[in-house]
Order: sequence, then structure tokens, then C-alpha cells
Amino acid sequence: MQENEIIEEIKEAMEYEKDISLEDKLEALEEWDSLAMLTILGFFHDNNINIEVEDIEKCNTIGDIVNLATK
Amino acid sequence: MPQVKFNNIKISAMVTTVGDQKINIDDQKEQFDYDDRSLKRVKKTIGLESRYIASDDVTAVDLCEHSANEVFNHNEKFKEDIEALILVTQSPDYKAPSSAIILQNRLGLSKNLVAYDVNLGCSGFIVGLFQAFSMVNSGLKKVLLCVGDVNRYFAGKKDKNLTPLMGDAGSAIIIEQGGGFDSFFSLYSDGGGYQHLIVPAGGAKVPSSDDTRETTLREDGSYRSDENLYMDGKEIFNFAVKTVPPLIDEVLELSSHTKDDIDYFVLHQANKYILQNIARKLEVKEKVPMETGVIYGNQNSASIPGTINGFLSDEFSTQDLDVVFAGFGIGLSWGSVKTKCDKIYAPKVKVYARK
Repeated sequence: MQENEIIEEIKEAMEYEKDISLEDKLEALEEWDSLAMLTILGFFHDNNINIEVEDIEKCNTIGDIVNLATK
Repeated sequence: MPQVKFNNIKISAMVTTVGDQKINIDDQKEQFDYDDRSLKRVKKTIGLESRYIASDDVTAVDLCEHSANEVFNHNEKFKEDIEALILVTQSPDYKAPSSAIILQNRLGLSKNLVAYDVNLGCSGFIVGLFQAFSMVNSGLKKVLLCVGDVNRYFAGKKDKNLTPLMGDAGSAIIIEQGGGFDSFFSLYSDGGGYQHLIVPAGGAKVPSSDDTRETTLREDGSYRSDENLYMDGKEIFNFAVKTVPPLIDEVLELSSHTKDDIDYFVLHQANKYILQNIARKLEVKEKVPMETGVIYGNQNSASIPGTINGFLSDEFSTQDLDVVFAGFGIGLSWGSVKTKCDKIYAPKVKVYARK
């Protein structure tokens, strides 16, 4: 899966309209909440990437989430 | 850990009544303080469209009574020889006595009957069914199991994390001797997780006071009081997706069945998102109904019968089915049963109507 594809999905999960970058801290994004987390989890599962909610909770930046999908 | 097999005990009727107020989530934007963006997100991710709730003067006992009368009106034989009435609810009519006893009188059942309430939520149908099967196994001829809740009793009116998910329903189920087949139950309780889904105040531990009744904005962005139900959605999600698939594997193994042998896996309808995740892990997506929460809302202990009456009425009324039921939630408490339903009386869901 492409990096930009995942970033787009994260933006959509948050219904976020501005651009985000790999370095952006999740805790600074008001829209990053448990619902966004679950949406991303669902997206990963639909793409056969088997991660758990805890894996997403450990992420600090947008880049950490992208790494979950590409590692 | 109870793993129990019963022989020659069957479910013969199942009726569910939902509240008569249909509410669309779009019409509740203001009540839950949603902006357009967050409304779109909960609709899309969790799967919320509408829900049916009871009017303010209608209780869980009313909904269950309505369902039980539908059963008896269909065939008065169902009313004969009922020797126990179990009511599973977390919204009883009174703090005491047990509402089940009041229901005995309202339904005109024999006084020579044992009746009591069971305080359970989402696992309540399975535990109630286990009790009913146990009673019939010990010699009782017939048991009336009632399950259901009205959510205004515990859910905060403006709690945007919880209340938009919830619907009101009450079901009546008849369990009696017969059928000839085996049923297998497995049940679990874990009080270590009690704080994830809890009404923190209003009981003996934290008595009701002006403070506990005050509705305030909480850390998770929802308005509620300490006498309202609190849910840690993420913990409950984790609990459900980790616990339910192995639980179902366990009852399949107990009953020496494979997933292919089962016609339907009817699970507690927490919400569509949780069910999609459980079904994905089980790899039986097409056999797991999951629309109840979308249309009717999360009906607590009534959600499994609510799903059968809501979406599978024809199948359960006309076919001999191998089924697995599983409930999971507040307690934490969870359980599952593999049984059969052979052309039971299971009409389409009823909407509450006053006498």
C-alpha cells in the first residue's frame, strides 16, 4: 500500500480537510479520537493488515500509523 | 467455568416488541451536539441510522408484557404450565420488588410459579436462556423468559457516545421440554472489567445525591451524570473482538460442529462496527446478521431475539436451523450457546401499542 493512500485514509477517518504530514503529532489533532482510530483499524483489516487497537494506540505521529501498514 | 450440555429442551416461541418512537439520527444532531462532520463519521463508521425507543411512560416490563401477550394470543397453549418467569433487565419498574413477580400477575399466570429479575445487560439473553434450560432440565414443564430494557433509565439523554446507539425492546421467549436435540452452553464472568461499562452512582456504594445527579461535560466529550451509564468504547470494542470469536469456537467444539454446520450466528447487536470485526475474525460474515443496531438500536439483552424477529422471522418460523447465539458486555459477562430452532413461533418484530 502506498504512503499517500494511507495518509488520505487517515484524513478521511478524521474527516479532516487540511493537509497532514508524517511528522504531525496525533495528540495535536483534535479530530484524532477513538472513532478515527476504529475507522483506521477497519481500513487496515479490509486490506488484510492484521493489527490490533493497541498497535494504533501506541502511535504518536501520522508516520507511525503509516509504518504499521508498510512494515 | 460452566460448560453445560442439555438434552431435549427447546425454544418454542420468541416475540420482540420495540418502542413506538422511531428516531432518525439526523434529527438528533442538536441533542448530541454533533457537527455535520462528526455526525457523518458516526453514521459511516459505527453504522447508525435510526432507533426505536419507548415513550416516557412505557417501561421494559410493558414491552415484555406486550411480547408475552402476543405469544399467548397466537396460541393459548403457550400459557399453560408455565412454572417459572425470569425477567432479565437493568431497568426494572421498581428498585424492589422484582418486576418479574408483578409481571406474573399482569399476565394472569399461575401463582404456583417462581419469578425473579436478573440484573444483566448484553449477555442477559444467554444467561437467561441458561437458567431457563436449567429449570426445565430440573423438571419444570415450561419457562417464560423475558429480556429487555428502556435505555432512558440509565443512558444520559445527551450522551453522544452511548445514547445514539441504544434502542428499547422487550422480548418474550418460551422454553420447554422437547425437540430431542442437545444444546451446549459456555458462560464467563470477569469482574476485573466492571469499570468499563458502569452506572457509578445511585447504588449502595455511592448513594444518590445532588452531586451524582448533576449532568456535566465529561472528558470524553459527552454530557452525563454519575447516575448515567458510562461506557469506555475502546475497551468494550477490544473485549468484544478478543473474547467472542474464541467463545464461539469453544461452543462449536463442545457440540462437535464446524462453522459450516451452522445456519446463523446471532450475536448481541452492540453495533455494526463491532459485529463486522467479530465476523471477520470468525470468517463467517454472511451468516452473521448485523443490521439490528442500524435500524432499531442496541437492544441490550433483547438484541438476539430482536435480531431474529427483526430480520430472520421467516427462516426461524419455517426451517429447522442449527444456530449459535452469543452475548457479551456489561459485567463483564459473556456467554454462548449452540442449539437448534425448529420452526419456532417467531413473528416479525412488533411495535408497542397501548391496550
